[in-house]
Amino acid sequence: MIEIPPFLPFLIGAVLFPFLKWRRLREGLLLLIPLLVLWQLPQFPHGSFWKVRFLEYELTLLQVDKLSLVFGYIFSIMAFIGFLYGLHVRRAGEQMAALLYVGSSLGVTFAGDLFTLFLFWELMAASSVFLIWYRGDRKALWAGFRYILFHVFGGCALLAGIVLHYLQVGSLQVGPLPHHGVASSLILLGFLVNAAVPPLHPWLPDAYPEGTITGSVFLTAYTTKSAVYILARTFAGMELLMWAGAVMALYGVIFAMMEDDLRRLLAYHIVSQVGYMVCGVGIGGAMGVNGAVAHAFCHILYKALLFMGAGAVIYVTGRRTFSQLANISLWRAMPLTLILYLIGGFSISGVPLFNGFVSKSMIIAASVLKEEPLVEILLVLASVGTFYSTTLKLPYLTWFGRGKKKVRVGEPRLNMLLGMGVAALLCILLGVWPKPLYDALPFPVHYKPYTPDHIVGTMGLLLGTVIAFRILLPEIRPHQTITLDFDWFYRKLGRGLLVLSSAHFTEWERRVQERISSWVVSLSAASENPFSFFLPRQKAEEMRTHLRRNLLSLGPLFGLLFLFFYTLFFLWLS
Amino acid sequence: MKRALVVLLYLSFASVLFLDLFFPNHHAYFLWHRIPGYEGLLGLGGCAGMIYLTHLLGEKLLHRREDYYD
Repeated sequence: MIEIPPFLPFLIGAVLFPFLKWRRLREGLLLLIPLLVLWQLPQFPHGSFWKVRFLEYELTLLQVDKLSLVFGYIFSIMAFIGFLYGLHVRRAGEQMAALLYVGSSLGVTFAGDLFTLFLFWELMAASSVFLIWYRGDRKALWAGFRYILFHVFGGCALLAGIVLHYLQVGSLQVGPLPHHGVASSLILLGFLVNAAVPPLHPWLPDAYPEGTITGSVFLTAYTTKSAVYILARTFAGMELLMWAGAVMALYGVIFAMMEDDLRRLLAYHIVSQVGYMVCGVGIGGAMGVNGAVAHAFCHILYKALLFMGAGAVIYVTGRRTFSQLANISLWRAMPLTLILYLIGGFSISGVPLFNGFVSKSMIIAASVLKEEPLVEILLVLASVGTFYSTTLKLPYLTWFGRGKKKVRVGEPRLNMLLGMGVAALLCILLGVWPKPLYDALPFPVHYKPYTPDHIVGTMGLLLGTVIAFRILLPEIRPHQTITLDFDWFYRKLGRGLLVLSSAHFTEWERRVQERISSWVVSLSAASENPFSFFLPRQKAEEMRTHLRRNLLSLGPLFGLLFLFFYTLFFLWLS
Repeated sequence: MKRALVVLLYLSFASVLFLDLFFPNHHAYFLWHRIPGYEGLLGLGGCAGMIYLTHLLGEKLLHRREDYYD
């Protein structure tokens, strides 16, 4: 059997897509490609394939082991769910961007060398930005620009790090990197940008809520999780990551709790959940890395489900913030969406029998085993905040608005419900029966999530949160605001700097420009008619005005000047 | 109906705290793992604390009008 690199079907699909004219064929292609990849993945033998010589380097396009396979599985499952949810989208460009985005993330996952990795890394940023831009409004346009600039910055750091690393070590192999020196720091910086570790995270809550309803579902899954994958492969067991992840988990939750926009709230929870994974990678060892990978797997499913639910509300009502939704009551109109959303909510909160319970607890257990009490407390607190804000507050403010106003909306389209249904089913399935997931993890698992003390403890934690929510219910109101975050530094301070510099520099620049252009004009006037110097003042001025309008005469002038100096040069040489 | 739900909530919380006495943490590594019902108290206190903290943080420091960046 020939191993087809998993990114290839997606890239070919993206190229073919616009040429397919029949709607059914297009839809079939979108659903078939992920299934094809998913069917092929379990048959891959471990090892390196598709070695290509490029210049003097050997690139490995396909490197398979357990760690890359488990990410390959979830990335292709997620592609199926995402395309099912977005099956009704008619814009070929948007679907192509999604295909390229998924394909390039799979390329990152199976890359055997750092150059291939970098190539797909950049393709990932360049294709995903279109999922934001296709929303088509001004906010999306600017958010997209900020998104791509941030990723270009990360990409540059990564490339610089890779080049330095190659010069030092002489190898491009993707593998554990000892952290010392500039090279590995730059590589780490590139990875941390995509993992959205504060203060490098503002691109995520800035851009994800501005994407298209279907595009954002893809965005939630790939960029951050491929960063978690590569961190697990290269920097596992690095203590810095453990602390960064633990702080990040709580940081995301705190900011989510202040948010008014549905999808921005959920985007901050991505920061928080990726914090758990980064922390797990930082703790390292079999338990830490297993936990991080398992959590990435489960997270992709429930976070997509949450984004699909919030997206469905926006799709149906056209409203995107709690304050806009406050005066309508949706639960009668969209009960199915509510139930499916709540399944995602229970999963992210780690309620027993849902998939978050079997993965998140692994990371917390790893922190306990490593005897880091502070890390454990931070992670458990983040878990409390997550349950409060995604599963209690968001549904309460979204579906149970106070208003008596009749709304003529219903459930979203069938394919959207089906996409959510598949994700919900998998969330429950893995929660009830985690064995297939545990078997796929990179290290053997000796962990049992369902012990009586663990279940009782978790239920206590969750019920305590519900009671706090119930007591403080009068305090929980939508507030029509935005929240400042680290993006303030480039959105406000940066703009201030620009104004400050332009106010002074533009004036100076204008003067220089004026002086030079007046020289040019008089020179060109002289070249057109050398006697213009001797013409009456009025006449010469007329001629210059004419020249200013018709700068074509500059061409012959420069031509003549060039020939003149060229001849001088030639004479001097000979 | 609504009252019944609230009563049920408090009852189940109490029963979980009670059950916690019989299922102490297997791996009580840190001091607080030995406190009976520690998770329930953390959920209650932690959630309330975070709600107050975020309200304060938002009102005093971080919330701005929606057109702040325009």
